[in-house]
Amino acid sequence: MEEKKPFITFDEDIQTKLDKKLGPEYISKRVGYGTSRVAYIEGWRAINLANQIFGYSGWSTEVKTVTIDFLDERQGRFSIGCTAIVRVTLANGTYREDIGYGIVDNEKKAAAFERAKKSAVTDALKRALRAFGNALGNCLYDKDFLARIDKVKFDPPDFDEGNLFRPSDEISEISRSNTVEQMNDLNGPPLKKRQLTKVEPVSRPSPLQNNSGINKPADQFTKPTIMNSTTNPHQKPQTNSPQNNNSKSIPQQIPANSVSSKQNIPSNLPTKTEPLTKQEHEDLLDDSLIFSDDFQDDDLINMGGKPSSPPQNSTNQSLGNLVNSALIQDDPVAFVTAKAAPTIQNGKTSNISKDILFDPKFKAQSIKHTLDQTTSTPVPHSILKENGIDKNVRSDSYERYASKGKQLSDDVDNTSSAQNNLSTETVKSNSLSIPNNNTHPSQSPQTPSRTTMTTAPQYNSINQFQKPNNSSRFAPSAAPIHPNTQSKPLNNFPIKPMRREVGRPKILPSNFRKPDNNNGP
Amino acid sequence: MTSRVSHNITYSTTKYKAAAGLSLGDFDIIEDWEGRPASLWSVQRIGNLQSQIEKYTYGIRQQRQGRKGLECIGLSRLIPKHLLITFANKSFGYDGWVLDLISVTVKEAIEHSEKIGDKATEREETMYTVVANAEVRVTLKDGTNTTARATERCTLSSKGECFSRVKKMAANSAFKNAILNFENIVLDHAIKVEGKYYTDNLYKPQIKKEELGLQNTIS
Repeated sequence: MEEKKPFITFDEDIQTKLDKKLGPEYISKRVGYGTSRVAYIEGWRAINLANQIFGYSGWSTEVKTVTIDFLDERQGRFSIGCTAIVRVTLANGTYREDIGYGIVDNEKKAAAFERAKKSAVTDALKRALRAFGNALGNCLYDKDFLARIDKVKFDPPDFDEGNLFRPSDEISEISRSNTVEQMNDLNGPPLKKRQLTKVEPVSRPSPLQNNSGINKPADQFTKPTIMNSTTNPHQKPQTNSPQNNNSKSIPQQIPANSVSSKQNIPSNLPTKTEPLTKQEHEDLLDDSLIFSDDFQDDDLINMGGKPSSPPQNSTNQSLGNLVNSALIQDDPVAFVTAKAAPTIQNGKTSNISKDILFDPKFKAQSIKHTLDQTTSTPVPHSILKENGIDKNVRSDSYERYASKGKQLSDDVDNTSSAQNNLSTETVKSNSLSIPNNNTHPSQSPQTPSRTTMTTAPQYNSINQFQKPNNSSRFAPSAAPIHPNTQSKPLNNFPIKPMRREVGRPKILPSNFRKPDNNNGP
Repeated sequence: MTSRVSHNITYSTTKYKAAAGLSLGDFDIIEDWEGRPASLWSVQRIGNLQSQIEKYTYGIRQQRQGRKGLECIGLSRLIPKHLLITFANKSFGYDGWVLDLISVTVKEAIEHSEKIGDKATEREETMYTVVANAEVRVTLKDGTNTTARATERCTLSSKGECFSRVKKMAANSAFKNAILNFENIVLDHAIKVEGKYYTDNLYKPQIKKEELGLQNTIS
């Protein structure tokens, strides 16, 4: 007897729901014949109620018959009357049948039949559902109830914009399902949603343990960005999973003054910061906008050239360790086409020929190129005004560049050089050593002052190096150099082109850009 | 302990044949549950239903007592369909009965003109008269079933409305007749059992008892 209790409870629950009469939210009214008002329930509401009471898989409908009673034509238009008999069957086999009727006047034949059939089926469905109880519309025939329900006030349902079923939710879930599977394979907890705040230690596969040679260059070139997040004291380091403990050869550092790290990480466990920061970096990136085939701007800049030497700055020791650890591996480093990538990843071929190398300048003939990127046009005034840039800045910038086939006059050079001090000239000589194979579209080797004034003094701190300077896109900055920067040994820093802010995280990690005192000089 | 899982041998889909010279009419093989309750459960539930119906109609009869022509009004006219549905759901449970609309047919459709209005505003208008038949079967979960028919007539100026209304009226009336007919089933069955009407030896309540999980059956 006890085994049958759940079924009885389920049936009784449905019976209780069906016995209840409808609230005013479900009742619609229309004008009937004469001045009478007819209360009715809309078809979609009846379906929703049936889903709520029986469950979405607890009932089904079947159109038994559709009968056309009459079809009258008048001047090419048709009036049609249609009868439908619908059966509503519950999961336990109980069913009700009833008749519905649809009438359409003065329509084309096909449209008239369709509309009449639809209204007949909907009518029959509502009438068949009504036979299950009050909650499915049977109470609407009770005049006493209708007289009372008119006096019941109710608030219209609020429109909750955040509780909408959006296609983006579905897509994001699908796109993350692969990641979840991979993480499950590595004994990691499944993450269905992005975690911006870390509550529990999350284990992720370490990028340094990844032996695929294809991704290594990108990892190397994006290391400075990763390390910025690593050295930020405002971020909480996480404890490592056992799989991360296996790679003990990688030296790890944790900020000494990080209180949260002391609280979260047991002292007897080896700590790692790089995988965690990698995770944070991935979390902060909007993966829905960045595809696996996309290259970061740094990658495009350095493509074809040798990987830059790891930074030797003592202030970024942890950065150097990580970059070195990434460079330890002997696999060839190159960008290959997406077509050839799987074969190399699977280890079928180790030779990287020129045919499979990725060519960023490649233009497919099948694609029409509407924009000629080989030429440039002046920036419109409207854009300059929108960005708060004066006209003189543009004209000033034009004066510093020689037009095609011409040379700048000495006056211009003197004017521009007069704005810089001795230190900038020193840096200028360094910046001229930048190889001319720089392919970044926003940079030109003919603009030494731009390189020196914006980037060179700020190489001392990677955080400052990544600070965007939008004004430099239009004209060389005339900001004075701080005298303290003269004493810096600039030759020790890798000279890297300006990074264009494309593909950055949507959530700007403002903490990353604060100067890190712990790792500072 | 017998299991309630249905492993019983049933003959519901069995086709019986007889060789030449023999007639199946000599053997009352096919069980016919038409017109008799299948279990004590249905007798009790039908009694419950009937009490609710009489409770409602008693008040109406008291109100209309002394009015002319009350005797001509049938019980199905006094009680609305939604109340019968409520009573049926209360008595048998929402999953204790099923409703089959066997047929709804139009017997007659006449287009004619009628004079409408007073003598001053008298005008002719096209009217439609439709007669429809409906047949409904109500079956309880123990197999007790009843089939009822109804015929309705309606005259309206709109052809579509006339068809719609008359068909729905016919279906409603047939349903009411079917529900109200359960009383007759119980009464007739009691009389037949007392008079040993069932002599075919095919009244096997044990089969129904096992199928439906009922404890008591009518003997």
